Amino acid sequence: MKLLSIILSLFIATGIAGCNTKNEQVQNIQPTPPAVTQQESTETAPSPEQPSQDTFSFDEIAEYSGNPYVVVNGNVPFLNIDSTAYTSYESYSPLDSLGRCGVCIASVGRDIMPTEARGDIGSVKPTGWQSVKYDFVDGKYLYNRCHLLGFQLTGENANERNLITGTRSMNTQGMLPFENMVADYVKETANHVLLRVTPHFEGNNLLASGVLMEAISVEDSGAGVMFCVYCYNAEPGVAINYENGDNCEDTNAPITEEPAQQEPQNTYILNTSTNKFHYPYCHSVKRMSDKNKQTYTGSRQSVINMGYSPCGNCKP
Amino acid sequence: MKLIVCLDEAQGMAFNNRRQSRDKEVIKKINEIVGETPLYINEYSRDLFADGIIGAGDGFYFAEVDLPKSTPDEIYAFYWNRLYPSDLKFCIDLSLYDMTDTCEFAGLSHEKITLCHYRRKKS
Repeated sequence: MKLLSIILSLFIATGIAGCNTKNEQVQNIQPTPPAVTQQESTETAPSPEQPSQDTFSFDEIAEYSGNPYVVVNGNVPFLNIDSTAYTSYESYSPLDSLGRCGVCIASVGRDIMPTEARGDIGSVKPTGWQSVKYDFVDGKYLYNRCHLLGFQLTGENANERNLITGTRSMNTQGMLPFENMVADYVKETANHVLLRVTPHFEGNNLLASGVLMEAISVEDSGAGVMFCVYCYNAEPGVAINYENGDNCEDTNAPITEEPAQQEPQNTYILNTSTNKFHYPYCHSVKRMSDKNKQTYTGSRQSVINMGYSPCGNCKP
Repeated sequence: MKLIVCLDEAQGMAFNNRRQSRDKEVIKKINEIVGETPLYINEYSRDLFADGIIGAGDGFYFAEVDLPKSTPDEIYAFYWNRLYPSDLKFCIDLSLYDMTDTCEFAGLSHEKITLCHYRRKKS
């Protein structure tokens, strides 16, 4: 994997002035990428026990193996909390010469969170964009317009500086869970979370290989929220050309020895009469006859393989 | 011992030794459930339950970043109905329990929270 450091170094050298002013409290903060190193790649990513590094190379990221994200630098972000972080702001880099997004950063506070439903973002065509469907992809569409700073955090709609072409998996399994964590914390505490998202484009690729997400809660110095993760812009079963976003079903995808272990293990309630499966808390379970009820713990796919289909209400 | 946990859609409890989420309405519900019974907590949960007792004992245990070593007689599971990152999963086999009650309510930061009460099956 090539270093992104050249691109990021250009940001450092030239400076970035891509502020998107939204309200009076928005400050003129320039999104600074994580400090990068020119070192050759190491063979393994740092373990959670290792102390924080000062610099970071995308070469340290392990190859995609089916997990939507991987912990970087022991979950310690390369961010520093300074006095500006105590007031909400958001900042987006201008597009580069290839039309690609750059680093986005925000101190997320309640005052910049959206108060209205999300608007239409279909007018934006991020680099590498293609509208393509696969039956086995959740929602069918391989690519989504992925907010770098999630809509629920900063309320940005069709901001071309904040939208990249991302796989469904990266959007919903990689980035969204972390956005949820940040959003809930801010809503519940009225504190701020400093969040930086760095898209990772290799060379002149138009499709990002992934995004680095770094976050730290401000007022409690990370006690509430702290993470540093890399979300892969990949989709299980799909081969992707990151130069331009071309894709095809990956018939040569390696079959892992124990694929079920990579999937979440949940407890489901099976209805042996209707062949539907449910979350334990589903209303349908309360009405289910005991003789048709069976509790099962395992992966979702394993239940489907047993011939059961998901309940339409609880959508397990 | 009666266990209280909060779970996401992937049976996750915590990530990076931090809770996945919180909700003031859940705290209210827990206080209602516990009543005058002792509530044991991990030191981590002190910011949510200032009166909680650090440690484990006969009563309720609110688990956020750990799970008790003993098998609970009852479990109160709050489901966020959302997905969060997780590296600590809820690993108690609920097939050993009967779900005796469930209800839904709106939280402060969650549209719908589901509370399920499980009671250990008699062997």
